[in-house]
Amino acid sequence: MTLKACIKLFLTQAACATAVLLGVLIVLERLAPGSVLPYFNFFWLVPVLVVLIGLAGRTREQENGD
Amino acid sequence: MRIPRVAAYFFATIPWILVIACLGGLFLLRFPPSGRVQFTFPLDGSHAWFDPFLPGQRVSQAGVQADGWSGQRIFDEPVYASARLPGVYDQVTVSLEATTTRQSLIELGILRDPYAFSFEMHPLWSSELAQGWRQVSVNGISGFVRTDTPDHVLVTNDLDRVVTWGATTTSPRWMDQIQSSKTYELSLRGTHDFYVVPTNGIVSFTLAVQDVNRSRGGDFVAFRFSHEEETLWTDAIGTGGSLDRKPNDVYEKQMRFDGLAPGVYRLSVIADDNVFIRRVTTSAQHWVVGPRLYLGDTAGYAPLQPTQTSMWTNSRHVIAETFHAEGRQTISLGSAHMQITKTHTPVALDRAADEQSEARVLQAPKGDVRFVGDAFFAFDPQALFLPKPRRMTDASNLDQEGVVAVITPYRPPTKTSDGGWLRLSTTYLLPLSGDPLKFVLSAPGIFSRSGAVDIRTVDLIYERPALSPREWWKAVKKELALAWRRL
Repeated sequence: MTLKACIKLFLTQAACATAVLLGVLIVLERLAPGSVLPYFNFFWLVPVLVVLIGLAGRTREQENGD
Repeated sequence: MRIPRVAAYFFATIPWILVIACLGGLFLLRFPPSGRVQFTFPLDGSHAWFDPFLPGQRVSQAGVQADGWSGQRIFDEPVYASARLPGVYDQVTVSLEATTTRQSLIELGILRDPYAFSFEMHPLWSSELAQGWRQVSVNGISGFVRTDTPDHVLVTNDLDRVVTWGATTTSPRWMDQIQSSKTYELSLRGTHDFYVVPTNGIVSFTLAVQDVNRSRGGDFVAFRFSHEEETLWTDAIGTGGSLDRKPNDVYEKQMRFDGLAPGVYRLSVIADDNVFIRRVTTSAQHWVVGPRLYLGDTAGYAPLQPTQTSMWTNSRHVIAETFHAEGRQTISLGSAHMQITKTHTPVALDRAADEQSEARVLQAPKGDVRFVGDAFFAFDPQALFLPKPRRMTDASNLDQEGVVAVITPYRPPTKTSDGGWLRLSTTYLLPLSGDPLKFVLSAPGIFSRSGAVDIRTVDLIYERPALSPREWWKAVKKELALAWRRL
């Protein structure tokens, strides 16, 4: 597997994992208020997710361009 | 450049491993295997586990104060705060690092009944017990005795020389023999507790009750007869109410209880302030009312008929308050006098220093005033007795009053390492649900004395038994049940 494909795979998986984590934490906080937020302010995961999706998309565009 | 497929897939699993570690870490924080979690933080309003005290007109804003320290200053009471529950725990220990200015007594309560807005109050600080007293425990009773007296003084039968603070005691086994019925023309407003000694095993009361309908609609009056916190009988009546704000007719409620064992019994009349007790007829020789006594007016009943406005009391300290301009007057307790000049403003009335013993007359010539004493009130000097020890209040002067023991679960404070601050703490059992936990801090008389309570840090320790696999599963199930309820 090429390095570019490997990076693309990593970024895609990182974006998926962040999205899943964010979803799980939101559901947990909704079901048991105070179970997550006081320990871990997960809202900063939103910009991280946006950046990861952006990078993964860009890698895909570059691959298509190549 | 080519990368082996296995390495690439391993590389791709790293985000998922981090996610699982993050969730696992949160799970361990929520369900600590030790069963104990502690949060310590300055009271500056920036922490999710404890919201600062409110309302704003009774406290300063949490944060850096004008004189340089960081925390919150309380200068009126009561004030309320809330704490976020970090999971399913059995108990919480609340510790506050605090200093006091001109404030002798502080209590902290946790909300137990949100519908009745009733709090379980615990002692938090007493300047009276700070010096010259030591903590003892006798026969399972905790309290304080003077440093130069033996432990057994705590369980003395001389109720006059003992006070309680946030504790209950066993009532004496008393029984009167001579029976004769007597009627008292009164005007008692709202909820009252009557403590009575049975006569030949009988307690009988006839209460003339009237709803004056100062707010529209009917009311309910509940009656409860109990002994040692055990309810023996309950009843309730509904008053008709009216749409024209006319007072209802007077209704007579007769109660008679036979075959009673020796002791002190309590008859509680629970009603709002629209309901008046106009007359009491009883065969009891010893009966008292308290610690709350609200003398009402006679408008709409018999304005010209005199009602009793003089009582005998074993209280040493009384707080009086009127809610109507007609209730402004001079009240007296023994030779001590106090003028009520404003409505809705509590006034403290204490006995003179040389009148600490025996019953004294409490007078409120115009009526229309609410009293809360540290003991009880009677409408006949022969009827007065002390069914249980006096309450310790912010006005208590234990030396002057000759008190030898204080029955209380109070935990003496410790001094912080930097000196000047005290660590005040108390422990509550936690209800199954009730997130967030609501607290009330009471500092009686703080406003009238221009006192202050400064709090700089809060320490919360939540505890449950260390988790075995079975207990762990129990805790998870409780949490799941709470989550299901919220859906």
